[in-house]
Amino acid sequence: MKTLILIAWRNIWRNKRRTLITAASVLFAVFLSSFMVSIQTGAWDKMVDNMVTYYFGYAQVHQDGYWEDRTLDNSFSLSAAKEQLPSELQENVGLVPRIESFALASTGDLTMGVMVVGTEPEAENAMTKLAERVVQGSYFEPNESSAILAEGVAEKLKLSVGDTLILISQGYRGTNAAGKYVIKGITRFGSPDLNKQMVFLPLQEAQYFYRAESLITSLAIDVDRNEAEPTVRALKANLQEDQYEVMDWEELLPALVEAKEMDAAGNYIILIVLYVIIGFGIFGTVLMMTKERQYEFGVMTAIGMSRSRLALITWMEIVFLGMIGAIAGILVSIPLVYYFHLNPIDMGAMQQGMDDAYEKFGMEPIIPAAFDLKIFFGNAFTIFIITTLLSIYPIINIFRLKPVEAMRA
Amino acid sequence: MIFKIAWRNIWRSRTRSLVVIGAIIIGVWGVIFLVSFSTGMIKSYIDNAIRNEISHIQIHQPEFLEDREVKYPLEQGPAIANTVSDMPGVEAVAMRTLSNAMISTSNGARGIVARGIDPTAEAKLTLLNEKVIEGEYLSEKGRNPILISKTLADKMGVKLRSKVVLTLQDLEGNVINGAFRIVGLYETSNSGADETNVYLRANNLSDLVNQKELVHEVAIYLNDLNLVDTTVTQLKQAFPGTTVQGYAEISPEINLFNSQIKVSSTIFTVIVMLALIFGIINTMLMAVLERLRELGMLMSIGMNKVRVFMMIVLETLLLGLIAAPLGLLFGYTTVQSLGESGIDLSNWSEGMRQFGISEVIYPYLENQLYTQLALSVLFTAILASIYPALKAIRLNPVEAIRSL
Amino acid sequence: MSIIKTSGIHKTYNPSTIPVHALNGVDIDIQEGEFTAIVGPSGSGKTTLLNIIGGLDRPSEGTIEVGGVDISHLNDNKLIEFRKNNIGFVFQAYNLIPVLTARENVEFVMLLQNRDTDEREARTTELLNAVGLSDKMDNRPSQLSGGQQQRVAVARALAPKPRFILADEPTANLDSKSTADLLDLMAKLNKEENITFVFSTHDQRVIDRARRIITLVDGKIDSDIRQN
Repeated sequence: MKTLILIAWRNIWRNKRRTLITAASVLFAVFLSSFMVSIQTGAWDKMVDNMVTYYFGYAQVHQDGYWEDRTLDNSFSLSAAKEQLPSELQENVGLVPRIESFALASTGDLTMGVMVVGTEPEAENAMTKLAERVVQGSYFEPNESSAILAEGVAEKLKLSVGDTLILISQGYRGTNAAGKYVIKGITRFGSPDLNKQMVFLPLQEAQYFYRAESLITSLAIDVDRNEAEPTVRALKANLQEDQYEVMDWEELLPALVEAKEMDAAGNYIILIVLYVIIGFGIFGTVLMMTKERQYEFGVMTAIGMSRSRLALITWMEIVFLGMIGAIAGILVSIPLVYYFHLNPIDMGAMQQGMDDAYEKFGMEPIIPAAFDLKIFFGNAFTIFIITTLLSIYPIINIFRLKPVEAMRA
Repeated sequence: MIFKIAWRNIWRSRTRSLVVIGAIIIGVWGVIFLVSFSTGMIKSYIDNAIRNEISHIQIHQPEFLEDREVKYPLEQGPAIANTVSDMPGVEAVAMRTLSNAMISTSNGARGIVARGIDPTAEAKLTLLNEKVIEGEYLSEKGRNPILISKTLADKMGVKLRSKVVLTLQDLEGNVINGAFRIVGLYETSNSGADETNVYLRANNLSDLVNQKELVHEVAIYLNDLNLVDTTVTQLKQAFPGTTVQGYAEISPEINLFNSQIKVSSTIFTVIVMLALIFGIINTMLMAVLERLRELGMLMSIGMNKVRVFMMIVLETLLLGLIAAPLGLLFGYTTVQSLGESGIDLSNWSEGMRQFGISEVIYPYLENQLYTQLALSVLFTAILASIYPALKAIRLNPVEAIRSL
Repeated sequence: MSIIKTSGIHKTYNPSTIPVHALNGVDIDIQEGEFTAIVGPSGSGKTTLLNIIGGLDRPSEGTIEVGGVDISHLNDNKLIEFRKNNIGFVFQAYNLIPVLTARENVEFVMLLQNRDTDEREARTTELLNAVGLSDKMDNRPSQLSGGQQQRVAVARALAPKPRFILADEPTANLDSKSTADLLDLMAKLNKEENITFVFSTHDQRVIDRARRIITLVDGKIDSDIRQN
């Protein structure tokens, strides 16, 4: 086997120039596709991050039917839900109880629709790091009745820390809800959607505002992306099905998931076109290799080398050819991708007006590259598959070869 | 004769040449497909945005644009609408009363924008009547009818004929309520806009806020995009003190996307051409190297270097000349047929609606891209032939024939 | 009249490293209408001498005149021009352009000389008739036998009306019958049209027919015999 590998390796260097050009084409494809996929994955990871880790969480528990009909009337009692959960689960994951509804925010002069979220300040901060994103003023202290606004809301209503905000809404079971709150802090969200509508109140204050004493609408679960799946399973197993619904982030944000899929699909079409063209180029090389080696193949079979062994050598040659390019492509793209991982691309700075366009689509105009070894290896694997498929041609040729004819040619 | 030699040389290694030609065809087709698809998508976004939301021209009171508050009405509104409807090239004009409001039902509330409209004018301008998927469009019939989107209705758990309450501030800043009945549910290709916009008769909204007619916005749809700039200029002169904006000013991203089409088609072209160039160089290099003796003979019998160089360039160029028209033809056929039937992306309709794109994309391509692409292929072929052609003329005929 | 005249030709390869003296002062004078074979064992300098005579290579020292023109110091492009108008080549193999027919191969060189169409066509027909291939004019080289291919090569070599024809082992790949036919053709052209031929060869059948035999050993002329 070692000898076969050695033969294959030496064979590809018999025509150095051709090998280098072919490997260069693979390098180009792998480099381009690694870079494109990293940027794209990075952009969507960031968007998911902005929505999921900054607010929604990777899983949520609601009263059954709440997500379809998001009203306060579909709220539930946290303590009742907790009773159904095993204590170890409660200890292992953070639970962020929230009460969420919409309200009209007003300063007397200006009004706008906002989402008023009552949350447990400490648990909220543990999960979404809300306190770290306070850009003006400060975060909630215990037993407070102040509000924290998203930057966009503050700008629109021309409010700053210390000002008073009036909230008008409808409370639990159709009651009237109204309240006045001093602004404690202003926070910034990456997601423009969140940034232009969020108003936070401490949980108890919000429950009082909505006239929904000790009730919550959703229980966000503080878990990592990797643990989300088992946690969702555990929650589903323990919570009564007819009483509660457990949803993961993909169910919570279906439009985001679809948009991501669609963008990825578009990218895949580009990559497929790219790899097909590169595949044609490699096939050209394979064709020439096969043609110019007819005599040699004839001699090899004539002196008793088995066809399968010859086929194996040929397969290895073609795979090596691709892998040299793939590895070189990965080595070139890693530093570049890593650079953009650390220094995200600022679309706004690149082209005027780009930041507004991104904002319009609910995206932050800052795109970091995802640095994920899987992306690089995925490309190497693609090249492996392509080269293996292309080696079918010479292998068929070897098995059909008639040594005498081949040697005459 | 050199042309003849080059042409026949291509067919000496038929499979090899066909591989290169095939790669070019796929590359050209790929660029056409990708660019026409993304152009179709962007056009869908732009068309939807202009038709459904922003129109070609909007006129407001300058202060209204800052705060979007009811207290900044466009006093000249009706006068403007009157003048505009007589202007050439104007397809539709609509006046709107706008107010931020909270919509509430027995079980919840949301912040929305209440758009008071003249149903007939609005139907002509935004074709809103065609977007009604359940119930009826607004009309003069009935007391306080309201039209909300299916998306919003689902989220609020209300149905056709449900009663909703709008809470808003009147001109003095007092909080007031009004009860409305849902007469219809609509759906556009932009879920974000659907969630915020509810439609009611302008007089109903004006009554709530002020008791008299109140106009905040005049929107104009022209029958030719190219008339926008001149019409804006005319209106600006005619109505000082108001803010007249063309669509590009209202939504700057539209122009950005238009320029983005050019950028992305260039990027696709460059990527594909770069991918092609390796295969072409390799093939032509082989073609030169396996013909060394023959080239030596040609140079011995008096073919000079310029001619040898040109012959190799010509051979490469011919590959491109065979492949490019075929690729363009396939691409053109694809764009034409898909441009008619459209590509149905309803699997991703939620994701698309979030970006304001219809779920059926009609690929579209500017004619100039075909030319641009044909030139790129020929340029790439010439570029790719330089190295092999140089290789060919660096030949010393003595070494090449070696047998003398 | 002297067609090829060399004086004091030296050719040294790798002068800076390990010098190889391929030619050490060769003086030959070939007259118009001669039928000359240059022979010699491998390493005798025969190939080098032919390259220089054919204007494919330049001597390190000495001069070579073809038809009274000194070509020792012409640059590459001038040499190509010179070859095109003055020398007809018949090689051992790779003589013809494989993608062109017999007719087109002959026409091609005249095309390089920018002759007009009527002249080209007339001369091509005439030459292919002369080499006895009037019925194979539209065949490609792959459809011709080895002997036929070499006869097309002779016709091609004659086409530009060269001062002489340089034939490198023209019979190496041919059977006896084809060899005899080809030599008959060349002898006839030599006798009837007074065309000068210079051969390089190992083939005794060619040597037997040559009227002058120049033998090269170690880069020098060993013998120069005329026979009939």
